[in-house]
Amino acid sequence: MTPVGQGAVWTVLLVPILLGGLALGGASFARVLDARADGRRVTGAVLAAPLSATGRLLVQQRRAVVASDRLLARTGVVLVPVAAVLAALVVPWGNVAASDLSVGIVWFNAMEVVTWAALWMAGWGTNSVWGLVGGYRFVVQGLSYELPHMFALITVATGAGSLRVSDVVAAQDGLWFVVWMPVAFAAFLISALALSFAGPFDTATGRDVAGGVLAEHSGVDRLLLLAGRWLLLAAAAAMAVALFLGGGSGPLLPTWLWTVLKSAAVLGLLVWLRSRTATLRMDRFVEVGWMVLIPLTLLQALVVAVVVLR
Amino acid sequence: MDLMRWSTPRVLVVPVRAGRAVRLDVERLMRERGWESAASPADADLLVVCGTPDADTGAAVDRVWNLLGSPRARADIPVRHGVAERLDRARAELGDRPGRPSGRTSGRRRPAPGDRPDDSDDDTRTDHDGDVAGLPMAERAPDRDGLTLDRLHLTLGPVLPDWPAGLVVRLAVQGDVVQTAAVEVWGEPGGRWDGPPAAAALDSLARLLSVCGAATATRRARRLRDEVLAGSADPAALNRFARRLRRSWTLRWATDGVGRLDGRHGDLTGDATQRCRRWLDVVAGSPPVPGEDRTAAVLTALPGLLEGQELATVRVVVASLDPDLESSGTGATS
Repeated sequence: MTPVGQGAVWTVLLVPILLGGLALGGASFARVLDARADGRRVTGAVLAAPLSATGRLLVQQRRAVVASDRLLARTGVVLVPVAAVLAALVVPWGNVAASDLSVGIVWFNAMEVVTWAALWMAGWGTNSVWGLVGGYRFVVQGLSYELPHMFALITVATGAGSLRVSDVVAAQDGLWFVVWMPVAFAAFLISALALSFAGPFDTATGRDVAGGVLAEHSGVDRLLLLAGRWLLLAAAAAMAVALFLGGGSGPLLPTWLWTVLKSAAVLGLLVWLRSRTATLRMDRFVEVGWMVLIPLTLLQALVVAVVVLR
Repeated sequence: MDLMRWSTPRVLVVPVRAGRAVRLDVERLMRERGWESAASPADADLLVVCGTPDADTGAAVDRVWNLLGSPRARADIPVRHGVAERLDRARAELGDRPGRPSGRTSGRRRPAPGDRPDDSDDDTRTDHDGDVAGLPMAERAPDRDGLTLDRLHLTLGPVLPDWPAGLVVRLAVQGDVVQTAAVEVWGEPGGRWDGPPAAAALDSLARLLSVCGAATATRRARRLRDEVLAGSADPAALNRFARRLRRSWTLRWATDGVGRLDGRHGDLTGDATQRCRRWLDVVAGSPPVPGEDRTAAVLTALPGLLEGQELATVRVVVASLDPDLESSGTGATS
């Protein structure tokens, strides 16, 4: 296949559109799963529910609690979707990357860590006990998933001998990384759910704390947080394709279509996992994260390093 | 406001003691129509009160109603008659609202004494020493490690999603750890409920599952509950549901070791996982353990179980015990 190259400047504008489309697809699929569990028929209205919910939040009144730190809260709220789009800049679509940085993997990681601060700010700034608890829960969650996540990224970089995402895709010509780095792939999928505070990792926005970080946000603020969450999940799914599933490589179809199909498949898997699980208690997950996932991902990195050195 | 008409509303359901029949109807209609249950007032645009609240609960509901952002609508449904029509009317009201009141200043209210803080712009009044915006700062108290930390008073209920009707728990928290807990019961109970035990178990399970973040299982539990009530439930489906939840390790993680009670508590003995399994047994068809004074036992045991726990655990403990105040004889203690 043709190697991934740096796209023209205008391709940066395509990133939010493509990412938004993927995120919307994921959100619609989640609604379909909800409707099936409810025993409702899956109609056009169910598929379009994320769009109509967006409209609803656009007209809804914004609100703020007395003595809330509005600047801090709104900075956090805006940062969530912005971080998602920035993270997706380095993800190649087909054989074009909007921004093929030499440190693309580190950039993705850094943008995703921005959401830690963003979510904490969005929670703390509302001057609500639920927001505060939710914000801190996300920091705890970050400490639990981040190291396995980083070791998974390091494994990929080691295998490719580069931190550039296009090099990673090129290195998978012939053998996808998922085949010989299954542990890293699994760790990446787990952290994809965790970094987008979705599904079993929704402690920051759980119903047990009345929505946590989301508890006091309404209107546009809420929309940005919810959309940001879906954008993050979509960005992580698209990144998983570039890092582990050979990017746009595949028979017959054009590379951009393979990217879309694979990203949609990974996103679908994540959404399905999200719907099938209960929220993981972080005091339990932190044990698994540090006692099981870190040793396993380290071992995976070691195996890959030995293979590369030989 | 075409956008509002097009989207499905998010509903804050307020259960009231003696309002069980209304609540069951409301939850069934919401499920059939795809209306979602809101997690907080900020998340809701429709407030539905199931039953006739007493004065205290009514005042609490009014305060929560003031927290809903515009456009909003409210349905007070005292009796089971005409539930669907009342929901329809509230829904229509939501769609008919004239344009959004300009910006956020319209929702501006000053906090009344003892009121929950709500909307208010550029409110930087500091008349009292140690006050911020007219609200007292958190007091301090020694925590479990002997450090002096901020202490916050927090009231759970009576308006809280997936919370037993009429239950009010007053907490003093440091960080998210509960220091003291006091239990109150608001309102008067309704009559005995002679519905099928499986429906009652599924109803309790749905609250527990929701609090544990098992969203899909919650939906399935409510759907099966409605089918049991309608007499159309398939025993195989109930068995499958129970089997699947018994196998769920994420659910077990959420409930293991939470709210453990010793052997003297009959039906309540064990941790949240064991209580959850007992409900699953009832769902799968075994007869329920006859509990004499289950609700009274729960209310007695609750404060001791809550103290020293995290806020999130508090919700799981309460949901796993699920005191049935809707039809129990326990009178108001507030």
